[in-house]
Amino acid sequence: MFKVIKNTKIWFTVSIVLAVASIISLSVFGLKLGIDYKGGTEIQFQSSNADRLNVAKSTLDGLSYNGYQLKESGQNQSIIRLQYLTNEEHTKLVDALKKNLPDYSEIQYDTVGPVIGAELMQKSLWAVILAALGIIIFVAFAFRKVPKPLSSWKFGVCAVVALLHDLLITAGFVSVAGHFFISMQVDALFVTALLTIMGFSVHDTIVVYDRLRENFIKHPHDDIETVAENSITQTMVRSINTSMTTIIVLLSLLIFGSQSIRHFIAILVFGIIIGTYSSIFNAAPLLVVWQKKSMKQSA
Amino acid sequence: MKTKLWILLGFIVIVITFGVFIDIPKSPLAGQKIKAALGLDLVGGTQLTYQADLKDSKDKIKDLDNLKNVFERRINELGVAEPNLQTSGGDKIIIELPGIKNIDEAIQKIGQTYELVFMSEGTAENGVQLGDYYEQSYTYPGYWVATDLTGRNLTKSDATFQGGTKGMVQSEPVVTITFDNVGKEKFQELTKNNLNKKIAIVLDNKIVSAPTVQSEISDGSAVITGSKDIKEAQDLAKRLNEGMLPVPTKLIAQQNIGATLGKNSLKQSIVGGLIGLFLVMVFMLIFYRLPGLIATVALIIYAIITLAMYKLIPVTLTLAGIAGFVLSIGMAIDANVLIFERMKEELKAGKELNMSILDGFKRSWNSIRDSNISSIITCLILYFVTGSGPVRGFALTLMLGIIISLFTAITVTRTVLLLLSTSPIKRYLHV
Repeated sequence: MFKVIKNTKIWFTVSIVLAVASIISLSVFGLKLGIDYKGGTEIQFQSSNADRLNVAKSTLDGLSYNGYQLKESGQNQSIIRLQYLTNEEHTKLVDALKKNLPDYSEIQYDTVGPVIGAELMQKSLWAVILAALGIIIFVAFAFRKVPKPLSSWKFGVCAVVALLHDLLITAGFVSVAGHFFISMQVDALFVTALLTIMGFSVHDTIVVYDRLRENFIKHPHDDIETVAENSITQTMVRSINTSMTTIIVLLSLLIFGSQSIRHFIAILVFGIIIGTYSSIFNAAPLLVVWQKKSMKQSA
Repeated sequence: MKTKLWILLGFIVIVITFGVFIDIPKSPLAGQKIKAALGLDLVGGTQLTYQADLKDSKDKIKDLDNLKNVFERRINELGVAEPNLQTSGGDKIIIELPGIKNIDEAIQKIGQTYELVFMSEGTAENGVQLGDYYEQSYTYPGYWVATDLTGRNLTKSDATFQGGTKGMVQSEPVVTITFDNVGKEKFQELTKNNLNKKIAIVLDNKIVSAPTVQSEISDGSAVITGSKDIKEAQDLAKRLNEGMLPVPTKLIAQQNIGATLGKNSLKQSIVGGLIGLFLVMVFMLIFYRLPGLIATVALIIYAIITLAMYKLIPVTLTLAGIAGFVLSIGMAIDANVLIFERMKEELKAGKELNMSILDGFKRSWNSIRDSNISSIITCLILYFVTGSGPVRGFALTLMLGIIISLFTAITVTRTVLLLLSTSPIKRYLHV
């Protein structure tokens, strides 16, 4: 087995590079907000006309819409994104499109008024804040009996730092992917994926921390580096295997499952891989670095 | 020890039997009522979100509820198979119409308002002239002034016969309308002030009937005469009932999903889920052999119980909900991975098989419990805080999955492992 704690610098460098890259991507590309947050309309339609994008464009121009987006979305399928439409406006648009594209058929139509978007955005922010708080409190509580010189809130904080690292890099991934793929958007399912990744990231970290606690009680005189190294080595296989089972089912959904939630599954897969990485290579090493620093200060 | 295990096994078998009975379609045990419900994104259909304007409302909850009832009645007339209405955010009503074909007609029917107003006699200066409700070309004599008594004060209207008891050969079809408390007072006031004058009952700016007030009416009900036959009276009563939209509303969001898209999504999700389940089983068999096989059996039991729970609760399955279920399969097996890894360690430390199994379960319990609680926390927050359809479906199926998997991955695996540990095949149990 290769050493984790000994090579802490390598893992931290990898994480920092990824985190910085994510921040850069987030500030350059940003996140593409879906219509359920910013309001608007998304029409997915089918037509065998190879020139359907141009026909749709001239139809939209003819009805003097502006600020719309048009993209291919599969065989004979395209997506139109534009402002919020009332039912009358929608009927008029469909009639015009049908006139120019006789075999036009609407696969999915989705329009959201601005009120709903603002409300959902607020709810989502609350969900993320509450989940992070809930997890800090829970981890601090679950590890309330760690032996001295460790402290339970250090466990909580380190678990959350690892978790924020996962969320940041996942958001970075979504921002890069959103730049290149039209379907990768920030919608209600994006927030759901983030929260699920949160739960899962802590899930894995707890397995490592639990072993760390157990070993500390068993060998109170060993130094923290050895204990952490042993704990990680002992739990490495199960950390990877528990994530593997989850990733296997998700990958099968990603490949064979429905296209409508493919972006959601992709975010989950990415986040769970990052979460597994951070619970092995970041969570425990972080605790060791912090513990050594505070011990040096008190010595 | 041994007897306890057999009792547990018996209990598990009973649970499975019940689960299977509920799962099979048209289950004799479950009856007609219990069946799996599929969300709009899997069957196709339309979702409409209406926002009610409640700023003039005195009792917001009651008004929204009334609005929902009116919507419900109108939708029932459309003949949609299984409509689903729910209030949301204090001022919104979300309507789901699975499998609907004519969306435009539905929107028009649901959102339309018939304005019902009571008018009193006026002059050419302050009043307006109005046409007849039944005969479009006929203009009623006189001028009319609107009063503050409107359809909002109406609670119900019925078509009945009147006059039949007085020995007449033919009784007259009429529509009786009943006012709420505010309307009752307003109507009494109106009849008092307009004795021996006419009051017009006006629907959509057309006069339905304009009777002369013979006495002050204080019981909060009125009779509209003038219908040709009972059919006409019934139509009028229905329109009055339908017309009572208690508050102004606006359509603020709409989603249409084609039936083919839904059908394909369902098929793909089932295929994806089954392949995932199969691959996880192979993975467990390769890594943990006989105990792995027991874990996969536990996983099948898990799937049986979970599907039965979906029917019993009932859970409306959406795409995101299926994703939650599939994800929970991956998580269900987690507990087994943790337990088997721990067993491995205990065996390596030189313990007896039986002891290793017991300790493996005991010692891994802490981390299994803690890690699952962290996932349940996020599920609860997702369910209660975000509260939008697909997110809720995902959170609910994932949470159910985690809870049920704790039972199957621990109780089922443990019982079977311990029973096998004293049987001749125990040497295959070494992980």
